[in-house]
Amino acid sequence: MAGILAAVLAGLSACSPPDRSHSPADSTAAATAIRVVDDIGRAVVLAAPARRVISLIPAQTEVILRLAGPDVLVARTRWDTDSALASLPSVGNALTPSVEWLAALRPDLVIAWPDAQSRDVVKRLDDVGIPVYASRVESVADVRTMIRRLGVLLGRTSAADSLDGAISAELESVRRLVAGRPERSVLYLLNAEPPMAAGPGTYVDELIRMAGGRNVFDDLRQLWPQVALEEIIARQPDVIIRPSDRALDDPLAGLAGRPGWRELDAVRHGRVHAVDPDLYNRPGPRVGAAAHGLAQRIHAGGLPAGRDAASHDATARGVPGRGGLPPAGSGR
Amino acid sequence: MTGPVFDTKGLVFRYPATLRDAVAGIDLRVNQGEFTALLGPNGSGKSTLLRMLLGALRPTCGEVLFRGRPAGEWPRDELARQVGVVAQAEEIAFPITVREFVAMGRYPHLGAWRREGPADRAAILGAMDRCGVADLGQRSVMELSGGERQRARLARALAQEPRILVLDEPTAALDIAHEMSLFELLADLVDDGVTVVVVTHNINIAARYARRLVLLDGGRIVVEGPPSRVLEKSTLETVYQWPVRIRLEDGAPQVVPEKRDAAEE
Amino acid sequence: MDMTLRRSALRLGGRAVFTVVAALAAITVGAAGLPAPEVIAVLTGGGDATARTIVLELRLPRVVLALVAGGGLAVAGAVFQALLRNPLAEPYVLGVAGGAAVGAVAAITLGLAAVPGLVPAAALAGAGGAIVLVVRIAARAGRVLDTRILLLAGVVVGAFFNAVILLLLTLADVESFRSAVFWMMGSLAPANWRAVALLALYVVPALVVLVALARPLNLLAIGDETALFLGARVHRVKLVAYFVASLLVAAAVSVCGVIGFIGLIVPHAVRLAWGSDHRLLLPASLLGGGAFLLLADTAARTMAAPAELPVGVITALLGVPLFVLLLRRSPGL
Repeated sequence: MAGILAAVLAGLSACSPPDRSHSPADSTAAATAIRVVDDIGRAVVLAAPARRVISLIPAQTEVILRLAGPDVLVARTRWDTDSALASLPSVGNALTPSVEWLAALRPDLVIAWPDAQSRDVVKRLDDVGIPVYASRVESVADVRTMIRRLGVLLGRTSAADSLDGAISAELESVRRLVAGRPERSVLYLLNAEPPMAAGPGTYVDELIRMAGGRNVFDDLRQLWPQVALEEIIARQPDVIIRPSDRALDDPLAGLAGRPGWRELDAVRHGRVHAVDPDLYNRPGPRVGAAAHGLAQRIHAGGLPAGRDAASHDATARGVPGRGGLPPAGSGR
Repeated sequence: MTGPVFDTKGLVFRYPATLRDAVAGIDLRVNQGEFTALLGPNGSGKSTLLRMLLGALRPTCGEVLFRGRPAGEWPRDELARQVGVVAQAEEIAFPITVREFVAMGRYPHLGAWRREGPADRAAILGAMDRCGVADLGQRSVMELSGGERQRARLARALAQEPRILVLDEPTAALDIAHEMSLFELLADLVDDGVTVVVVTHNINIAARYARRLVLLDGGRIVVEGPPSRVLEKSTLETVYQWPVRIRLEDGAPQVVPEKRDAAEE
Repeated sequence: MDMTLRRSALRLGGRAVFTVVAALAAITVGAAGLPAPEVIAVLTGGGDATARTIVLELRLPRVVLALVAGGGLAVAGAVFQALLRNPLAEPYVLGVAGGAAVGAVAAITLGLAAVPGLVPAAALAGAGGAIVLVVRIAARAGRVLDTRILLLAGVVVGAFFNAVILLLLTLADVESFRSAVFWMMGSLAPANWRAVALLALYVVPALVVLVALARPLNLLAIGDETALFLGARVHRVKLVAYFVASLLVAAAVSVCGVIGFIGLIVPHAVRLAWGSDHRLLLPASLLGGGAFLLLADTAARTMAAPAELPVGVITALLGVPLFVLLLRRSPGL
């Protein structure tokens, strides 16, 4: 149970079947008001571009920083440790924020998790008349839609266009990089004990495909299935990717010695890589770097160590926060 | 009040999923003012009979009339204003004081809402006094000794101011003094006109106090009547499957079970 | 009796005053850090728009919800303890919370959560299903509402619902999973005036019925058959107490999720202090449960401000030491 909790909370922003449709760019530039439809179909209407924004989702905060700079933000979460935001009051773990605290900051826009509308922040902020944009970002396409919509809400559409263009170019370069290379099977191992893997429909599954790999468990029906070790051995993934908060000196740590795991070719031949979980569990504006880093690892030895990939680890490790993850995420 | 208090005709009870009737056809009549003791070996149907008399079990066959009306049809509070019961076992889930415990006997008179009046208080204090628990009022029932607790239970039944008192093995946990004083009290109550029905294994004490004994075996009445008629050597030896001797003490027959080696001679 | 009555009235009055003072104090504290004079200004009709929103729309309904839900849970706990003759009984022991959780989690995972009011409605329906199911299983097993069989039926149904919940969670997407887990943790955050009104609409008549059953419930504490011989209509009392108390729990759970510990500890605290007479125990549990949940929720929303802690954590962290203290001060009970 704790394992499932940890896994799913770790995957906070990933997931959901890929066929979930989002209506593209609903922003209509009305004469007087800014109007955007958010990811749960609510219309968000602003009289003017947002100037006092609270984002409860780190990847969205990153986008706001890139589009409008730190001045439009009036609060941060524990996971946003960018130095530009250090002086802002922190709402802490943004999963259960105090609504009255948010209201007291008089924001003109709050970016929040949709949380299935059961008892969420969205509804309660709505109740007290504070504009909320419910943001659900689960795929690369979602990231790009989110960037454009935030651009509209912030009155920074051109900055949004250029950020989107940059992402598009980065992804294109990764595509060229892996074109014509043999497809490698990849196990994205969220947790080793019990083994828990990324299933189809997750953000990282999409990244694996972009990076010229194939998710070894892409035929399962669950997003983060718990899998049997013998099934992993039977499928013999070419590469194993382990998201890890701690910089693992040895990505094999804890695997190579264990019975079963040492039967894996990937373990025996050292094709196990540790990655920054933020970059792969949380869809965000650094999707290009994420895809490039993954390609680098999947086709290790077969690719020139490009600039992007070389810098990735450093960037990744230095990245503030862990995607709004509660401490449970570190429990593995 | 005329007519019998309890009157049963062809009373039969079988517990679900058992092969034998626990009570297998009993015709019993208890008149007002009688002191009746139900005797019989373990499993002879005494307690089952008692629970049917009190309307707690519905007979499989036959019926129990309480004052001419089927016991099961009486409203419980009306029944409880007439019949006080000291049941066999009772486990108290939460600590309450002896005073509160005895005061529960006023429930059939007060219902859910009415407050205790002077008459209720008099009944409670009188009952506590009569059973010797007047000094224990503020003690928790859970702290009482077996004897004290049994007296508190009797006080509760007396607080009901019943015309009929039914007791199921009331002295099972008591020493001689407590047992005797309880039966003395029952005899006093009978003198006051209260009908007493008591189930007991103590044949000798029953023979000295009860004017009428009912001996049960296998769910049937073997014999009933005054002690001199019921406590007969061959009947008892058949029923209890044990050799006994009968002696007379103060005019009451007393049963002395034989030791094994004496019986073999 | 008159003295006992006067003493009971004094005790309840004292509790009521304490509860009101606690409620007023709770309104003045919060993550937003409004100064007390501003809160008072709002309460007397002044204050600026933001302060008014914070006090009147966010804090006040939450405080009232804590009082109503906490009181309801504590009363239900006391009733279940009497009904099952078991001091370990608590409001969720008969599977009501499990049923409510299955309803809510099913609604969330099926994506129906966006329909306003549907999750509480589904929780209520699930709880209702559990209530009926438990009674039917208990009745089928023979003697209707036999205490042990009722307890067994409740535990079995609860275990079954837990399995269903785990199954639903396994199949859920992340967002539903997170919603469902938060729902099950219990929180007073969703408080609004409509929820408070709906809950109070049920809790108040339920309390009247249960307090009316106080004397028969006293009798149940010494055994079903003894209660019968003392003139209580035991079967009816148990049935009514079971349904009314279960619905009380169902109503509270459907609004606030599963908040533990109140229903177990508050009735015991009252018993230790003032005895087991339900005529005093039930109203005192109402006030005590309300004040306790209010205290816990105020801690939950201020201790880690501006984040909020799960209130169930606080009820346990606060409740255990308080209870141990009470136990030590009341030897022999």
